Amino acid sequence: MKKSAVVVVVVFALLMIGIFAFGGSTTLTKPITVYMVPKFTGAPYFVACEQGAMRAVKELDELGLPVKFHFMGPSTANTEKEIKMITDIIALHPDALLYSSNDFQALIPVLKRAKAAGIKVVGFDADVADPNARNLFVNQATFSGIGETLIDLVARNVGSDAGIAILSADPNAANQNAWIAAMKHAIAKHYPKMHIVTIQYGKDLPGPSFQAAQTIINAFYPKVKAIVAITSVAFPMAAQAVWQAGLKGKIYVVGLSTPNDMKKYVKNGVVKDVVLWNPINLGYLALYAANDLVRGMMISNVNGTKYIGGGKLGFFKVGKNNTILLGKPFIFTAQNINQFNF
Amino acid sequence: MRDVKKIELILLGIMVFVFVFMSFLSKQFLNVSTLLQIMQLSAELGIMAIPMTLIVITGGIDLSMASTLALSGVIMGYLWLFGLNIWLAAILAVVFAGTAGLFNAVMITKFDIPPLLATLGTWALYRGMATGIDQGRGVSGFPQGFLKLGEGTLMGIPYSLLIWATISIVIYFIVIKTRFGRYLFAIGNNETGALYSGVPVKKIKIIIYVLAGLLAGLAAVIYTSRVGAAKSNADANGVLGIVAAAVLGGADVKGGSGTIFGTTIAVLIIAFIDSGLTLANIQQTVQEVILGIILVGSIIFYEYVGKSKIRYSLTLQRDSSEEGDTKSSLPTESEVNNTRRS
Repeated sequence: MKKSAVVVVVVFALLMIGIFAFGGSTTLTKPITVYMVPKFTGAPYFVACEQGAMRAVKELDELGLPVKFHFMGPSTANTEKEIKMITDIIALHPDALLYSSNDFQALIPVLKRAKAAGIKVVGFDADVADPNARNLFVNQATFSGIGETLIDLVARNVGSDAGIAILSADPNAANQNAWIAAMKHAIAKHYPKMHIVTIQYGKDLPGPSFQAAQTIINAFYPKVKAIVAITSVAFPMAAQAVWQAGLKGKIYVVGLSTPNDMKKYVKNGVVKDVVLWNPINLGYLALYAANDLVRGMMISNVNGTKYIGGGKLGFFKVGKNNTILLGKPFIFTAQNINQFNF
Repeated sequence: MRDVKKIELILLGIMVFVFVFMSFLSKQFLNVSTLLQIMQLSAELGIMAIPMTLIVITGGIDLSMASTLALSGVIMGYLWLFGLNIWLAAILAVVFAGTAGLFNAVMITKFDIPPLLATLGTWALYRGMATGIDQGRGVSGFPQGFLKLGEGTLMGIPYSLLIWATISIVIYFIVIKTRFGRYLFAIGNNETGALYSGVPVKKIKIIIYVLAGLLAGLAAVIYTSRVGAAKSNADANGVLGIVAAAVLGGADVKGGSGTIFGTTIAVLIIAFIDSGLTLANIQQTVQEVILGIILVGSIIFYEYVGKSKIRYSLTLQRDSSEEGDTKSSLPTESEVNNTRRS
């Protein structure tokens, strides 16, 4: 076959070029190549993750540990495109791949292939269902951590015996249900006098969330002293409803959302605290973890427990299923919220 | 009428250009295993673009194919989960997908609903049903033998690629060699004329929409085994890629023109651009812009330069004389001249 002969010749030629280009340079520390693949690009949240990773790259460079960093992702949240992109990246043989998966199942085969190709695979933000598909996952927050932080904030602001209302997405939403369970657990453990008066569902849509918040205000205030809105759609709507009802300062509204969605309500005082995690630190830690894995810089103690050095964030214990935890949830307040743009 | 031969040649030229260009842009591109993998990831798109081309030739469109893929994949997953043999479940899923196509066909032929509207309806309906059944859970853990279909190879060539190639070749010859193929063009050029000259318009339409369903079902089986999971969000927005492939391949949405060869080349062009640019570390947003420019450029080209110089009536005359069939049910020259569209 003429064509395959041509292919062979060209591949051979390229190989020779490759050997000449890279074979000669033997500096003390060879740069490592790291690809970071977010769910999609252009979103401020993932831009913040990228910023964090770049910060880590800069620090490592200064330490004499150069990193060639590439941030590439699908332009929209699309599982198929992310699979394609990772497949292409495998062909580039980088040292490490950081991913935030669009799908907890569909990415497993391609991540396994990356791992089998000798690439260190590190998840951040969103994991896949099979821990064997990657080397490490950087978890931004645990369900119990979020639940406890929310309940602690309620107790601190309206008392440990307050009646609270929860505004959730949908009775079947897995994450939200896990957070509700974690809050119930935190109440039982730390504030036995606190009680959940009602749980309303806003379907993760602005309109129904707003109505559900109004229902809470009209039917349960003043029995309800705090609304805990646990979706990024419901939280601003709950704040809006409390503001329109003129109950600013009377009902404490707290929940999970991104700073940009909540700046307006933090500024006008309806909302004091917004709970989430810090995506800059998340990207920063993920990059350090990749560097540690590739360069074999993990630390293990006598009991076999391993630790990842997370630069300025300190050391992180590698837990069950090769997961490390970024830390306690981050609380955005009037003092710090303007430093974040996502 | 478009000059199909000219379009096919131009497309081949574009493909060769893209291929050479990408080989220079990234040294990993020109690698047999990379290329096979790039093509493997396009198999489902390629398979579905074939019936889409047939439908577009008749002046129709099927927007529901990617939704059919998701729905039949989910149905296969749950049939297997309830204890059915995986291969039996796969066959039933393909049959079900054919029924979904038949439903489109009935709406279009019996109730005279324009294909755009009928399949826009089922685009939402089938995706909605898939989401309703699956509710985001997804089915995974399929047996290893089934996963082989999506990942396995025969003499180094992925199975899915072989399936795609076989279907392309068979339908290519059906279109250019058989009366069925000529009927497609007759319907697309002048449906009323074709009907009055005895072309079984409804029957032909039912066949192609059912075929679209069946092949979407087959694509679902391949997709599911490739990603190892049946998901209701499978191939989300995939329909745009299918239409884009058919249109870039020279199919005229006004009906009457199109080629399986052109469509298949178009799928490869899109795949090479996608992966080649990723391998060269160029962001996906740039890839989309380039693809958009090629699409717009090709449509303009086909409309103004790619027009056939052969008159429609002469083509038909040649066809019937070649066949030597005096009972040919195609319209006579004068009928065509009276009613033809362009």
